[in-house]
Amino acid sequence: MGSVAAFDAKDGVISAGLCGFDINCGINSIRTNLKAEEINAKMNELVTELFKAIPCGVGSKGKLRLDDKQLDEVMIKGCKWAVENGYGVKEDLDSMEEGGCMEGADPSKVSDLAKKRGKPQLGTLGAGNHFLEIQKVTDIYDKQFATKLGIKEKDQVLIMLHCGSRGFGHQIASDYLRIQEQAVKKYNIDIPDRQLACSPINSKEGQDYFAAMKCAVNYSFTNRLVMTQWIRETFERVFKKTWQEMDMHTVYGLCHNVVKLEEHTVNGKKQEVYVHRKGATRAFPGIPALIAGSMGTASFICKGTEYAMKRTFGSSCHGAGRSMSRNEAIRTFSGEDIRKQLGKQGIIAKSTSAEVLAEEAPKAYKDVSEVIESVDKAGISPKVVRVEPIGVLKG
Amino acid sequence: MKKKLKQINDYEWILPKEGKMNVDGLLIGNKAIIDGFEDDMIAQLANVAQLPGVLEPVVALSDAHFGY
Repeated sequence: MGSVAAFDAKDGVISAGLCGFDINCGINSIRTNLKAEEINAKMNELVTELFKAIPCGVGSKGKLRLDDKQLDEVMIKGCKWAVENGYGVKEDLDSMEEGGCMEGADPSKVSDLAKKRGKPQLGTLGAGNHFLEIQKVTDIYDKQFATKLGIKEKDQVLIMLHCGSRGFGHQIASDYLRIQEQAVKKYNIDIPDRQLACSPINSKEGQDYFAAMKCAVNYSFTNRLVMTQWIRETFERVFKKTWQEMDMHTVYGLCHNVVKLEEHTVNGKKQEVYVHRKGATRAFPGIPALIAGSMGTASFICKGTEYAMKRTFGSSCHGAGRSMSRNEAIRTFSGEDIRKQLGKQGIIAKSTSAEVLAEEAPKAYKDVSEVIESVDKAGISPKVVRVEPIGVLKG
Repeated sequence: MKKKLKQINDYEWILPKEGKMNVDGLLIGNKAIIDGFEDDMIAQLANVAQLPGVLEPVVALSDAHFGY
């Protein structure tokens, strides 16, 4: 929903509903040293090849088939598993929240059904608001910080991958929502809304959820890094250069739906808190915050601040935010019209169904520039770089 | 719900604690964003503020919308 709620680590609660169904839905940004004009001529080919390399759509299954042991390793080691198996490199881990792995994941807390759903889906984009975008830099507001991220000039091409933990995380969230509905009764917690089912942080139900959620967080980090490698390989085939020659390193990777145990200053005292970010980005001082626009509109790289630590538990917004429900958007817009409109803007969009384009129509979202101006001027995450899409893949 | 918001500067608005809320809410947004916020979303923020052990403030960012 675009919210942050922090709870005392001793007597607070943890809530599966407040973390959300798509655990560690998030973004990875990958840079290149290519310029927009260099790739425009090959954009059709590039988007077509990416569409072949990255499985998209509801229930899409990947090229990877994990056995039980491998899935356990993904849950526990996250992106370290990916790198050991040839997906990504060590430097990628240095450019990801938690280094691409939250410690303390426990596969024994994950249901067999979640594991069954997770095994065939690693390395898939999914559908809904998830996307892969080829973008060009249009503005650099903070040259020094942008340079540190390897972003040097206007028209430089970046890639943004926005996706999550697929059916695996969804199943874990559903399982624990049910468990926490029972916990609410057991521990006599007064909740105003069923969706806020929760359990005391220090109860078995609370810690089991946290350990299971981390499995989904690590699965999702791995999912994005596996696809990052396939994106690199696709660029290599299309542009006949190695990905290293094209400088295709991870700019940053982070979570938008997550619960984290962090230290914050509350009433002048440092204390441990469980921060629930639901549709929110971590915005710690000097660390990038990636904020995605809606399809066909600008996205931003911002940076976190001390002020965010004081005001918002080190958090900022995550995207444009819907202004119209998915169903209303499907009723209002035609996917084919949206594709044509994007085409007029010079954006090549491909999706598994036209309905997805309607559902994600730019007008179904708030104006991202107002959203960003707010977090920029409020001082919680000033703008660093603005990018616009030039190629879009949707599930 | 929106009538209850108190503006503290150009980009920060407080939803003061009342009733069963344990803490205040903080909403981040310029005037256009705040005007666009749904009452239902603000009501959800008030609900979150009722949970045990919640720390001040519960925050709605400028992209917040209805639905958890």
